[in-house]
Amino acid sequence: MLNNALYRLEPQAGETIDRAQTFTFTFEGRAVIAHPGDTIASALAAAGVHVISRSFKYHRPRGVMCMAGHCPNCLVQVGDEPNVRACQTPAEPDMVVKPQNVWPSLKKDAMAFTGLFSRFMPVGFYYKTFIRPQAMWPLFERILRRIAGLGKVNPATPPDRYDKQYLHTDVAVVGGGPAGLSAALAAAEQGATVSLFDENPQPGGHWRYALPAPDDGPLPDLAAQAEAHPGITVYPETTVLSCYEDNWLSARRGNRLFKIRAGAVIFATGAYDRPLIFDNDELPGVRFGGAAQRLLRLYGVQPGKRAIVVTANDGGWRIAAGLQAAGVSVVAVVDERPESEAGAVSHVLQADARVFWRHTIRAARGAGAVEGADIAPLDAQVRPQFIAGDLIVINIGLTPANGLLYQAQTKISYNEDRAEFLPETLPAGVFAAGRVAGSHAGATELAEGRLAGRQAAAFLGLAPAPPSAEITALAGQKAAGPKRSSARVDVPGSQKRFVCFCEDVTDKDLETAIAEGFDSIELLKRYSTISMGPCQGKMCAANTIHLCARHTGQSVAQTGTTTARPPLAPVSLGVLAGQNMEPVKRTALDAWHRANGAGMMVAGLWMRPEHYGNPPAEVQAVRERVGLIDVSTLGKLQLTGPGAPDFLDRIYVNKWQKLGVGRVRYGVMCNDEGVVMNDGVTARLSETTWYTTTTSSGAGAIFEWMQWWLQSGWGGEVHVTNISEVNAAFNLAGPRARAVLQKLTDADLLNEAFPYMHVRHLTLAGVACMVMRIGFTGELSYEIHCPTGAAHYVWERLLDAGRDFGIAPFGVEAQRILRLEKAHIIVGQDTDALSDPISADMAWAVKLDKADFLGQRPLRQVAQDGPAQRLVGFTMARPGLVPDEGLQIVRPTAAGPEIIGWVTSSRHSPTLNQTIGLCWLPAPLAGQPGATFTIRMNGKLEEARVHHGPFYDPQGDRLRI
Amino acid sequence: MTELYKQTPLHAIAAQAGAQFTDVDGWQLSQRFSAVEAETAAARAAVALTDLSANGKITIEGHQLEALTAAVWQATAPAVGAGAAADKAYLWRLRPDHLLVTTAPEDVVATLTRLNRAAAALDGLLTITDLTHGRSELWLVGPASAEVLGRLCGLNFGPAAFPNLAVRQSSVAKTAQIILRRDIGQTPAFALLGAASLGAYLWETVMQAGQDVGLAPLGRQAVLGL
Repeated sequence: MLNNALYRLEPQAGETIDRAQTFTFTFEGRAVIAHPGDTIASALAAAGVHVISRSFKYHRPRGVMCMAGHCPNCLVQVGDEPNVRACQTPAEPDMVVKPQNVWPSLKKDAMAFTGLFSRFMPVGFYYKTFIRPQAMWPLFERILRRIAGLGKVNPATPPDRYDKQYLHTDVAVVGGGPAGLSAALAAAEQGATVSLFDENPQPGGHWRYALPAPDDGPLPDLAAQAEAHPGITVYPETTVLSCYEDNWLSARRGNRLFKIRAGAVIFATGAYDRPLIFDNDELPGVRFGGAAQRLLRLYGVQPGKRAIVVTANDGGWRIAAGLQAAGVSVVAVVDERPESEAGAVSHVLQADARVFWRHTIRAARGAGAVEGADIAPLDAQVRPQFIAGDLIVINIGLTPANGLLYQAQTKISYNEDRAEFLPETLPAGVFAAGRVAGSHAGATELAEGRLAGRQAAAFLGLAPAPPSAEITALAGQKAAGPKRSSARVDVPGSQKRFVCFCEDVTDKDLETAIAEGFDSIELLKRYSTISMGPCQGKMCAANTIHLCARHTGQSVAQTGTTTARPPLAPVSLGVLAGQNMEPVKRTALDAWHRANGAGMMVAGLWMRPEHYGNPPAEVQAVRERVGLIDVSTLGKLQLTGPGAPDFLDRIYVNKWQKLGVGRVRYGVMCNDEGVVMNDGVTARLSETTWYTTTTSSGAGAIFEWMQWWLQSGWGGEVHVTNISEVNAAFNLAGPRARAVLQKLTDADLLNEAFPYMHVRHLTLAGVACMVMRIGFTGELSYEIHCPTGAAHYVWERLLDAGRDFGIAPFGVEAQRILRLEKAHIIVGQDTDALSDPISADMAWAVKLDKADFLGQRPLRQVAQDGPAQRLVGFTMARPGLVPDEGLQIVRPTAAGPEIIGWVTSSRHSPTLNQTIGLCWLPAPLAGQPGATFTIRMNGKLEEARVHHGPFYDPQGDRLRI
Repeated sequence: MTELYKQTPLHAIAAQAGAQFTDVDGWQLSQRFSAVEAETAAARAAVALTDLSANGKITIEGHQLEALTAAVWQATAPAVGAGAAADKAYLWRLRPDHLLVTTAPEDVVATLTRLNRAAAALDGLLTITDLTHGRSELWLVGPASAEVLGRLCGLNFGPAAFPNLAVRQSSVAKTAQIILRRDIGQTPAFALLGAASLGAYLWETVMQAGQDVGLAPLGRQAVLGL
């Protein structure tokens, strides 16, 4: 077990850990003691574990550098989840933590040898190296994929629970530091509802861990005030990922994605510690000032025992003082400024601390971790002197966290004086405050936050706008504040000096890339992959711009910036996907079907019974006795009003004016190109009420199609209502169907009273139903439409009534066979996006002599020219052979088989004991009954014959019995 | 012969969840899933989901809505996006020419009769359609109902944007729904009216979305007690 007392301090004011409790987790198999409130990294640091993982390319040892979730240096595998940031992830009992990019162990990683060959692996080397010989690429790719990458995904891991939450707020404040908190309070005081998002467990920002400047005075407890304010909702541990048009933000907390609509947005996103590029600048033990302070104040952990502080501002001296106070020996403070530019700072140090003015670090030294640093003066070429220590604190400046501001279309420019990219012009409704806007002192941050809050409230019309004098005064106050960032981003050296920690890109790599011509910042980014790793540019973007500017001879401002695209922080695909929502439609009989052995199938959004175990037997039941199928999925539209027949005449290719009340007609619907869209039957229920059915999958689309035409000028005196789900529908089919139905009603069902293609309102077992006598299956059949709520009751009564007649439920598969025996088409299966009704053997339905209707002109042309292809039936010459639907029909030629058609439907007919089907053929061939053609099946050509008309009961006698 | 019964689209799910059923106007409705007091407490403390699909849902399309509501209820039709109580019914204006009327299950027939009678006396085309059987009606009841809905729909369910007796049409869990707000006393309540065939899916999806805030099924008895 690792001893966590090695670096753990006495309790610190404001620390987040609960020392009363302890637990253990494992890191690379060894037990680590932690307290509730510890992160994985803080617990490891307390135990003296400074190397946590290895780097992406060269497998160099890496440890905690930022302690803020910004750099990639502490990515670990936790259980099945790779790329977990150890510095941000709370340690939990029994957690299994492993280092990444190591084999066989963190200490002795076999792939670390790649560093020896780094000179042969400059940026882009694999683009150039592995492309030849081309045939080897699959092998290279396999090897590269094995070597590269971050962490390992276990595909067997069960999915976690994810969801999304929409939020609506007057003002969204991004960042819970002093500026963000004061902005939230100011906006809320003006009556705005405020949502404050902060990526840390508690708001407070750098005030939670940084020693205040002497001028700041006592810090108000803004976090407590914000938490207590009824107008403010604080979202801790929530990272805002993106900002889109109209103040639309996305944010992530755990496994939840927030989609936020805000009236105004205040970005108080703070700033990141800026790295300094020097030899071995990522050696474990090199930590940013923020990291050192977080470890000290939040977790009560010494970041090292002997510290060398490298700085360019007064803040570094406060850090040094804080380290000393925590018992860390500060062996040196290295400040690149002349002493004359510094505040009264040196007195904060103990007497034995060495101070180097106008000096900087040249190299971190150590085998696997920091053992000291080479220090050299800035102005003189002298041999650096080595200072021993196990901690190098880098505090040379800050990079404003302005990615979201960029996404919000803020104009941002480089401020030479401050050596930072700062917002210049903000879009309407967008405000910035605090470190991201260039405020350096605590008082300025608070003032700017308050101002932004009031401005946001004013933007929403909740308060008067702050006077411009106040805005001007604040700008002056900011300009007069202390400078925090150095314009120096690197110092000369001779060893590896990493700009990009994510992908091990060095300054030399960038120099090479620029020399190769990738000399614009956007090209440089794409070629070098800089800013494309897990840090998303937080560590490397600013320094790359400086290096690019230097090598191209341009200014930083001229060089510009790369585009800050969403998401700003890594986000798992599960979070983006959210809760699994796949709508499924179920008929009222769904449970009955399942309980009675139905094999269910997906049909569009619907679940339908495909069969009840034996489709041929189901066919037989319908042909010989009686069957019952659930066709509730049919679309059902009600048309009311005197204008209905005119409208139907325009929508369908058929004629409707003369359809009498109580009659039913099959109709075909085309689009304006004459292509078949849908089909179904339409019943005239009264002079002004019509009932139309559509295909199951077409119900919604056809309703919208009709609405579109109604609203486009064809809607005189007609209403269309989608009642698809108001009624369930069943088809009772078979020679004994009448006898079954008669048991449930006193109505006269004989042919004379209720003929084929008629509709009647009947009371069946006490339920008012609408019954159409139609015949998709080719047998005497009744399509029964009853209220959906009574569907189960009516279905059961029909089965009860049919028991003595051998009734059997049948599924979609049997229905498909039955309809194919009658050569009835299914729109969308036997037709496609080019099929017109004349070619599809339904010319009888097309009434070209009526007034304008959809598809009339192209159909006239088809009628005049004759179809090129025709849909016809076919039988197979060889018994028992059933071609798959979609197979090609080919004609052998000297040049090889020529495709002349395709199979759309095919089944073995149990009634006829032969293979039957429908196919598209060239019209001359299709016009010859008995003509032969060949279907390509599994590479062989199989003979088939053209068949005209229904295969079964061609005269339709059985429909009319 | 078995007596006529009617089932809502949620019948199978309710049975699976252990519901006890009661008969209301021929409908088999979930009376309770657990102890009524516990269901009531859950709805008051957090959020609960109940199936009120048997409620009457009648749509009226046409340009004579004002005259019709005046004739039937001596009431003015509410503004678009708003609802109003009228006698035993609630009127919800979806469009200037489209009104939704909701009623208790036992009042559907009488309401339809009154509407058809009044419509016959008016000029112009008015289409009155009983959609009761075609629409599921799920109610989210409780202080956390807006939060749960906010996980399934992009609308603002805050009290200012979506006050009591407001109606909106939107996508909820990727399905088209009419959303009504009709608080029960001081308890916020939202009704989702959508395709009956999607009712079971919607129930399961809403239950999953509200898992972490303790969303529980609520029976009719507890609803009446709220």
